[in-house]
Amino acid sequence: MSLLTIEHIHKEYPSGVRANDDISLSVEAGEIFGLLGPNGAGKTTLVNQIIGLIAPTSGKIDIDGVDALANTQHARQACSFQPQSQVPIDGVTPQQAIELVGQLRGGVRSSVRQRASQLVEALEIAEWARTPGENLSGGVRRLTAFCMATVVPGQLVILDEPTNDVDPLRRRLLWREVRNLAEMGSAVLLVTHNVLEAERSVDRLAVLDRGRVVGAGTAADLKGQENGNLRLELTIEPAAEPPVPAPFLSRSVILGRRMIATLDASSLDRAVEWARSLQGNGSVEEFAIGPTTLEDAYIRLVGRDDALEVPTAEVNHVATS
Amino acid sequence: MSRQVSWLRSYFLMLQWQALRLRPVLPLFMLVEAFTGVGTVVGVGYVLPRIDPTTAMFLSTGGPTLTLIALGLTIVPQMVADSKARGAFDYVWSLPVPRMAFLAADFTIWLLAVLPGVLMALFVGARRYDFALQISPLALPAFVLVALMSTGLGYAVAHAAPKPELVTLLTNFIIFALFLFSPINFPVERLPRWLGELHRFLPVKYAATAVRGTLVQGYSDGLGLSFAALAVWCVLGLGTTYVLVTRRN
Repeated sequence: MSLLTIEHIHKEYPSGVRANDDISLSVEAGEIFGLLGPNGAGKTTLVNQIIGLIAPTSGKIDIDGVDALANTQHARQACSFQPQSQVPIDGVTPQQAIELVGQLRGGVRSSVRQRASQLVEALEIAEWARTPGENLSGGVRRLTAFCMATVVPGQLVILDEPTNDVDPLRRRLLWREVRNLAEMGSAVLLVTHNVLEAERSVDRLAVLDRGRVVGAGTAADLKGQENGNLRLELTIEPAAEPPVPAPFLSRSVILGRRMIATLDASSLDRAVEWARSLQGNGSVEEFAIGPTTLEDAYIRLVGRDDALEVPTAEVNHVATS
Repeated sequence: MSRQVSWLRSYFLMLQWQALRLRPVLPLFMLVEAFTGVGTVVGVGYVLPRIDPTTAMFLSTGGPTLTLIALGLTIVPQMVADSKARGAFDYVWSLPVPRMAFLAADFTIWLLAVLPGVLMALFVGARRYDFALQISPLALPAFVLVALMSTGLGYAVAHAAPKPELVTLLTNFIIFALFLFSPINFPVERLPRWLGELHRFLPVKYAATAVRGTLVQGYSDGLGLSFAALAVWCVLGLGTTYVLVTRRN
C-alpha cells in the first residue's frame, strides 16, 4: 500500500478557478516524488489539501491508510511540511526554532537537540544557528525551514520549493539530506519548478499543468518519447534578434537569451553547421548540442516555456562550440 | 518519527514560541499599555472641571477596564491581521498543534504583558484621586475574564475579516466607541436611553461593572450578572474563533 494516495482530487474555488482537475497519484515510503509544473499549475493547492489547510471539492486523500480529509489532525501529525513562503521566525534563532518544532512533533528534547545540531552542521549553517531570524539571509531562513520540517520527520515530508534562495553549494548538501530522509523511511513529496534539480533528485515525478497531471513516471519514462533525439541550445547575443529556427528543428522555444530546440540525431551535422554560421554572423554567442533532458520532456508536456528555471551552465554538453 | 504531544505540552511549547517571537516588541508594548491605562485615568480627569468621589472612582477603575478591553478588541486583532498578511498562521496551522492551544498561548502572552499597565493605572488612579481600593479575590478572575472576552471577540473579528485594512478600520471605530459612548468612565445613566438599552446586550458595561465591583466596596451590585454576561460573551467570541480557525476553504 502506498503511503500517500491521492484519488481524483478536484478543487474549484468559489471564483470558478479550477486549481486541481482530477489529480491522482501515489507516493511510496522511502521514495522521493517530484511534483513539477509552472507557476499556477496547482501544486501548492494540492499540498495544502494533503495537510488539511484547504478542502477539496471532491476526491480522496489517504495517508498511511487513514482518510486525511476526515482526519486532518492525523494528516498534520503524519506530514512534516516546509512551505513555499518563508517561515515566521523573526525573533527566534534557527536552533530555537528547529528544537521547538521538533518537540511539538513529539521529539524528546535531548535527541531533538542532537539531531538539530547535526542538520545545522550538515547544511553548513552552524555559524548562524544562534542569530535571530530577522537577521538571516533568505537562503539561511529557507534552510532553517528545511531543518524545522525534517528534525523529527513525519512519515510524509512535503518540501515546497526547498532550494529557493539557497546557494548552489548548499543546494547539494540539501539534496543529500533529502535523500537521507527517504533512506530513513519517509516518503518525500518535493514540489518544484526547477526541472534540472528534479531530474537529479527524484525517483518518480508528476508534471502538473493548469491543474491536471500531464505526465507521470520516472524521469527516464518521461524522456522516453525523446529517445534518439538531441537538444540544441543557443545563447543569443544580447542585442541580436532570435534566429528563425531551421526546418530540421522542432519545438523551439526562447527562454530569455536562450533558444532551445529538439532535433533528430541524423540532423546533427547540419545543426552544427547552422549554429556555427549563426555564430559567424554574430547573432549567437555560443551553442551546445547534447542528449535530451527532462526539461525537453517538460516543455513538450507543458507545451510552453514559462516558469522554467535552468542555469545554462548546468546543461550536459557533448558537443560545444 | 513524529508522535502526538498533549494539548498542555503544545500550549507550553507555543508559549515559548510566541514569547521568543514577540520578545522584540513586548517591552514597547508594555510601555504603551501602561501609558494608555495611566493616561486614561489621568487624562480624562483633565476634561472634567470638578472631580467628585464617584467620578474619581469611575476614572480609576475605568482606565484599567479600558486597557483590558482595548487589548483584545484593538491591539490583538491588528497583530493577528498583520501575522495573517505575512502568512504566519498558515505555517502554525500546518503544525500538529491544536489551534486553540496556540491561541491560548498567544492570549497568555498578551495578558501577562498588559497586566502591569492595568495595575499601574489602578494604583495611580487611587493615589491621584485619593480613594481606597478594596481588592477582592475576584479581581484577578474579573481581569482575566474581561481580557478573555475582548480577546476572543478580537480573534473572531481578525480571522473573519477578509482584508487587514478592514481590521484596522473596525478597531479604530471600536476604540472611539469605547472611549466616548460606553459606560466605562461614567455611569450608564448619562447615555441616551436607547444607547443605555443597547449596552444591556453588549459586553462592555458588564466588563466595567465586573472590574469596578471587585475593586471598590459598595459597587458589587449586579456583579453576578456581569460575570455571567462576560462568560456568555467569552463563549460567543471563542466559539466563533474556533469555527473560524478550524474551517478549511
